[in-house]
Amino acid sequence: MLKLKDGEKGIITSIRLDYNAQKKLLTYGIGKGSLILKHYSPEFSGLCNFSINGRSVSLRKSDAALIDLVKFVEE
Amino acid sequence: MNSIGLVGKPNSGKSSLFNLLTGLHQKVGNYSGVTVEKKEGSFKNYQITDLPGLNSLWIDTQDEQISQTAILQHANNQQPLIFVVNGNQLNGGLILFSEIADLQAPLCLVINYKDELEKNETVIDTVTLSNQLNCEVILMNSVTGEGLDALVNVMENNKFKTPNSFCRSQYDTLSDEGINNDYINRLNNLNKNIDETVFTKINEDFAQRQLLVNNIITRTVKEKTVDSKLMLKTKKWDKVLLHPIWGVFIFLAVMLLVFQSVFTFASIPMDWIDAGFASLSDWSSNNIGIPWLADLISNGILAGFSGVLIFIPQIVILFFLLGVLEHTGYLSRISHLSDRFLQKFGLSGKSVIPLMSSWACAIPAIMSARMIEDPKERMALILASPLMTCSARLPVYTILIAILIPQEGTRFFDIRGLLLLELYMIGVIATLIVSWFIHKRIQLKSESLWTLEMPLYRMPNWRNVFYNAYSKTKSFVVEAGKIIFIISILLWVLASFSPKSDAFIDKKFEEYSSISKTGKIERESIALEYSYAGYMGKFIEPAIIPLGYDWKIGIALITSFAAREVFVGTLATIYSVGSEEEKPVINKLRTEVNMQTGELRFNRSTSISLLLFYAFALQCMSTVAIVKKESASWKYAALQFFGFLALAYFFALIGYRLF
Repeated sequence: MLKLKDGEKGIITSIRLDYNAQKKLLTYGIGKGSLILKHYSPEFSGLCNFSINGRSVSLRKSDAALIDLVKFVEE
Repeated sequence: MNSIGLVGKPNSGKSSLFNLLTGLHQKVGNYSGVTVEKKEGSFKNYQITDLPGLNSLWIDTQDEQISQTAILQHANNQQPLIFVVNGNQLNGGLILFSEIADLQAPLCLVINYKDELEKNETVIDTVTLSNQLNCEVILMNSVTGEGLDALVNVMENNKFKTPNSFCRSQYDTLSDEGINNDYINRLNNLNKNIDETVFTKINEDFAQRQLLVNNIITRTVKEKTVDSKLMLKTKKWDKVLLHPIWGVFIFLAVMLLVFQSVFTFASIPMDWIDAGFASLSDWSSNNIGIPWLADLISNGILAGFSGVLIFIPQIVILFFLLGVLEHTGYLSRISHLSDRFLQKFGLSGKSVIPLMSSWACAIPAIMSARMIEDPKERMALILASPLMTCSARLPVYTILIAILIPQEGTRFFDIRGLLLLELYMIGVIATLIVSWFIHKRIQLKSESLWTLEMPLYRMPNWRNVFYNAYSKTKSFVVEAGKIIFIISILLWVLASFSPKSDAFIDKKFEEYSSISKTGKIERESIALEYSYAGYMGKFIEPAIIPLGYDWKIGIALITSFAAREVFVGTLATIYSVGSEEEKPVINKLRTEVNMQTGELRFNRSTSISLLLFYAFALQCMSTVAIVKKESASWKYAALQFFGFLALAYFFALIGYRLF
């Protein structure tokens, strides 16, 4: 997720967090196949912010690094 | 009375709707987790319950568990639920709606923030949505009340319906007998021990719900833009306010502005109140025919009340400004900015809101720690947050600062505001260090994932901002007022009567007058020293002399262990008893002379020592009680009380010796 630039979209392909964490992400609507829009992850901040289904959510960069996605390009 | 529950995701506007229906004033804010316990009120012949927001029936926090239990009870008893969803977040909201719909509870769907949907040019076909879900759908603005008539119509005509099932089979897979009284226990047991099998089931359940919800949204919602206008505006503001360098400077500037405003704008009304009480006291002394009653009213009750009521302007201004920050959504940005820093102390960005709530009162702050998922962080927050400067400390600080630094000119930035900010910073630093220590020592399992939801920036709802400031001030005045009234009378009795005879006091007066350096000894001062209150203060004097306090301050220390704001009222009463002159409290304290040394009683060393004592001591019995309740242990409450007392004594001693 961190490789995505600000303003880019991506589709989650895998989440390498434990099951409790994955379940929690699911309650935000974040799971395999979800489309997210990255807002910002400032260099000196420990957080990465993105939106999903109209909600703006921040994750710690250490957790965000364990979420793999492919860049989504709109036609 | 029929019971109706208000449910939904966090920050969807449930409490605003609750206030609208019941006419009550439940706290409202623009961030997740404002409501941490269920609140009840009535509307016509319905009992309305406002439940804490939850993201899913697969709960993570204690406040979510309260909602989960209430939802199941409503489903089992076929009592209706009003499901409130933020119109900007319909997708996520409808997934939770589907989970509750599958419990077969009678429901009605309220889509909130109608005004924002219109601004974003988002159109929702409520008729089709209602047909798809098989339940009433109402578009609303819970702040203005638009759409309320339609909701009342649903309630009065009992139009609540059990919606169509989404994927009920998933629940049946997880429970042998389907949904029954034992169901939540099974769900929670599974929730505690999620393995691959359980997660796969939960994942399939969510995926199926997501698919169904997406289908419904495609058919019923037309959005002009993918990213809403409000979201774009929020992103622009976030670029500035969350900038790693500018964002921090802006935060510090905002806080400095808040504390300077507290001093600058409050000074004039404070002078009015002080002068008003002095005149009233003067009038009572001269016009009440019964001498002892006149003395009780002017030097006991009025002196006690004036000592505390004078701080109303400061409290109103502080909570009004904090309320503005809260309602705009800026508090969540402070959480975002501070997370990395707070992690070093065992806390997270989510602790910021409870910590800032502690500036009002530690009790709601300790309760709001329920929204913290990590048990270790939660306990650190409960035990450390009373070190933050609560509103009851404000009168103590203000009076001591005013004694230390007499007013100079009317410049906006004066040194008193800076000193107040420093005291608030001492509270913050002490909280962080104690939290770090607790986090290191406590044996609890840590939560692995941390998430923070960022609300859209919104204009404050001024009615709610004013009401929040009013209700916090009212609660301060009422709570403090009750204690102060009783203690003022008690103190007046203890300070006005003596176990010694008049002849004994006359003899002592002559002795003191002959050895006094200043020759300004009043007989009434000697009478106070040998009164019951004097003996009480003298009993603890050996322990407080090293801190620079005398027996009079000792009396104030004893009484303020019930509630720290009583300190100022007690000092006002103690220094009024025996005083012929009716002058403002601060002037009385500023000119009080130590009879032994002839120096000012509240000199720099003593004032700084007192400031530090009150910065650390846990003088609030209500806080002790709530810590016991939330930590489920007297051990933690006792450790906190005596630990903070030891810290207070230590720092007061250092302060007295160094300054």
